[in-house]
Amino acid sequence: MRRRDFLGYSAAAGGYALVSLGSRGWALQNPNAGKQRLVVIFLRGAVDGLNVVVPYTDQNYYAMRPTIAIPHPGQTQGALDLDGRFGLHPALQSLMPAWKERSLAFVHASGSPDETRSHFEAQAYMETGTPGVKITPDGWMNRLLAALPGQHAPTEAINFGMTLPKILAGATPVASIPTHERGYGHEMHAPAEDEAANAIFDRMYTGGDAISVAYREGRQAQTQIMSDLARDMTEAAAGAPSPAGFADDAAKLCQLMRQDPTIQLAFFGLSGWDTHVRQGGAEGQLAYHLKALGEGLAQLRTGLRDTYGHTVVFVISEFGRTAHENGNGGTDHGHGNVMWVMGGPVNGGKIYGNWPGLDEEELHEGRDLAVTTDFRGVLAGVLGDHLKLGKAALAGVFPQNSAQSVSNLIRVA
Amino acid sequence: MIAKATALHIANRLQVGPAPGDPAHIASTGFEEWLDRQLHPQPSQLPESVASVLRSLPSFGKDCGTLYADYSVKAQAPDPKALPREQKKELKRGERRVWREAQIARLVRAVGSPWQLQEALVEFWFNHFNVYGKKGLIKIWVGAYEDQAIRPHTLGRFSDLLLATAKHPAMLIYLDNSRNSAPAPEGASSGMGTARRPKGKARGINENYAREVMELHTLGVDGGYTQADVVSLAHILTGWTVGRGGDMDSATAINAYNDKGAFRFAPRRHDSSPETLLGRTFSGGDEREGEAALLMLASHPATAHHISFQLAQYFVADQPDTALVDAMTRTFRATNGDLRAVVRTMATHEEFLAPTNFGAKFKTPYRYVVSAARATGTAPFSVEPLNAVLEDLGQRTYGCVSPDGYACTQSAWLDPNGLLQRLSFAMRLGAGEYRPVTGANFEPVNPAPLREMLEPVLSAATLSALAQIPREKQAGAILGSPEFMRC
Repeated sequence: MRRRDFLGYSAAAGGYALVSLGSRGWALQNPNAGKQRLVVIFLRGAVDGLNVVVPYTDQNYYAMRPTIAIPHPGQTQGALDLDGRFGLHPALQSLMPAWKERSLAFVHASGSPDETRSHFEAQAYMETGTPGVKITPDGWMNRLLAALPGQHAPTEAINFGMTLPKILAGATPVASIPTHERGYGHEMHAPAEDEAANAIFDRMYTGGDAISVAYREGRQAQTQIMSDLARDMTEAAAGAPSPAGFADDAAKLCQLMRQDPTIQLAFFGLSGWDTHVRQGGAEGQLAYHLKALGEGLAQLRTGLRDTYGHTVVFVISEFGRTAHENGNGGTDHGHGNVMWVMGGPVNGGKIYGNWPGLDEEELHEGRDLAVTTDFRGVLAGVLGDHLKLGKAALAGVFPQNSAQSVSNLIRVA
Repeated sequence: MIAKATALHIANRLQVGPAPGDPAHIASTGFEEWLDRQLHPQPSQLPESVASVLRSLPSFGKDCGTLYADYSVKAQAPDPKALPREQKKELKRGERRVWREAQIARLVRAVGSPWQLQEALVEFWFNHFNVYGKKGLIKIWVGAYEDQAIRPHTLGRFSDLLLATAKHPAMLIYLDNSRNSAPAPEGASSGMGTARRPKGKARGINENYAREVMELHTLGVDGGYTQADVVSLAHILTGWTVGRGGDMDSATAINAYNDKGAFRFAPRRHDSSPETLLGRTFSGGDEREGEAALLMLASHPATAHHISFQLAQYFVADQPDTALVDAMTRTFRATNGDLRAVVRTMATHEEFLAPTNFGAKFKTPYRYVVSAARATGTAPFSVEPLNAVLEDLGQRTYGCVSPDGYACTQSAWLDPNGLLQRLSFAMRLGAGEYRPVTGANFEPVNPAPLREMLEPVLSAATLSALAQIPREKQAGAILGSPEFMRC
């Protein structure tokens, strides 16, 4: 349901009264909810895609990156061979099972048609799904939420973090839960604990203004999430705690998704990728972050169990980094990057896209990997095949999109 | 005499938050006189309750060199790898304590300083010139950065503010200009790091600061610069670094540790060849080249507009009125970036006092927490727990990783879960849980002064809810009301 319907629904329950939800309450009201799930992980700060999926057969690569290049597969700390042309960063060893079972794919030299090298502009464009258009008020995941069939529960999309990112902003309600970084769980306030306070604020936040609406969404979503989490604390605790926060958050998402079929979309924003200085090669800063990310993704693959068969995970970042390393053993803001696509339905074990190479004349402005695949083509291809969105719905999610959809990324069921 | 609602609006917007009595004080003093006083703050005149907290912070007020010598792990243990693990941990804890003390120094002044406009401006400008307090030595320098580079210039000249931040060790490290150096002169075919070098000695261009100073600090992303301008400015700023570089002479070597916390121009890292930036050519063998380039950016028309827009967005409205921004831009240009004049133009513009703007801005977590503390008369010595609240609400002090700083708009902060967290804090604060315990129980906050101050904005729904609850819950309920979420 759209935000307006949601309000109407609340009003129908008598002025405003909090709807009491069983742990599967929304599922009961929402029998038509699709089983297909989509998880988007945004690497904020621009990850160095050339060191994630390494073009080890391109000789320019080693000339341009004398101190940070990942060695050939087979050499000490070398890349993990993917397809005879490209290799995976060795810190992503934990993803090789997914690659081998063909549920992991990459789209290289992909990115935004807009050329900005500003983190903030580029992130906004990738989140609104409208490169070059600054006034788009909502994010593509929110528009996607509205385009999905059936009634919409406030827990249908889950954001991990304290503030709503642009990609999820818009007319349809979204739930947020705190991440591991914020001390997940320890300070989390369960509204049900203070019924007296709830009763006071339920009387105050009755309006149609954005703040009152947010209050009511929060009350509903939190009631639901708290009960989902409380039901299976033992199971969550049984998993070995990982040193990296993301793996723990991923485990939490697995738990929520397994238990609550209404959750269809989830979003994580992870920072720490803006490696201007000493990013390292097979080891070091970037390797450290990739390892944590890889372990979290591996956690999703195993932790989702059967649900993995209905889930597609995207890993995206606002732009790539310079093909040459800079003077400080790092890389500066660039252009083309690699997109990661993982999940049971993915036609994986392949590297998609049109590789332009790293020859001087092929580089964007003589310095960056070129973009040969529009990120919207990748997203729209998956949204169409995986979430079964038709042409009209896709045009709503990505307006004014002339990019060709990438086909075959999803296996035909 | 100005109306109660107007006085509350002024106290809401030109302060970090009003304490009971502030709106009445503004009304009786008169807006003009009150504003004039706030535009000329006397930071040395702080109430003893605030000054005593600042005095109790061992690292407060020290310069960067001293902080480096007294607290950095490096200065304490030149070879930290040789130390036993526990000892190393203790030294690292020492660095983090300095960061924590800086957070307290910020919060105690935000909550307790009578120079409230100054405190609001400090928050604005710190975010504008954001550095991340957990990156390397910034942990021990972030408080000094605010006190030395930001605070003295908030009502001064924009160009002074820009240069002070540009040369501060915290900024030089945060945006990597400390490593930005001319490519190795010979033997390097492309200049792009063609040979392996010992760790930390790498040389070459780093664009990070050069880009952000134009995109965020001065011109704005639409300010008309190109990628070529970014590269040019990076070359112009080569050699701007921290402490001793490879060029240290014997005189500085004597004060080597002290030198570690200072701006340093390293001539041998500088690229003195001419560079074109926004159509003008810059060259030279010393730091004056970079200063000239930054001064040109400071006085660029795009900068005047960008700064005016951001100030208006922070103080007036998420989508500020064009006429207001234009008036501020004109003042900025006519006064060569006199920030006191720009703020005065804003505060005295009819748009600032337009009733449509009353209570229309959604508070950031920082504003929310500080205004709640001020509204309840929270004692300056008990601000430390507020720090943890800010972390829970997603706005840890000095904790914004990205260089654009924390946003000040509703779209950035209005979030269902964050809102519920605020309510939980409001009830605890109202119940007296943030007060020193004197008896066996917490003493609830007296709701009367709070209610009196907010009377012009409290809605019928809020008043009716208040009528149905016991007095000891009323202060928390007011702090959690929709009206207190806005300012």
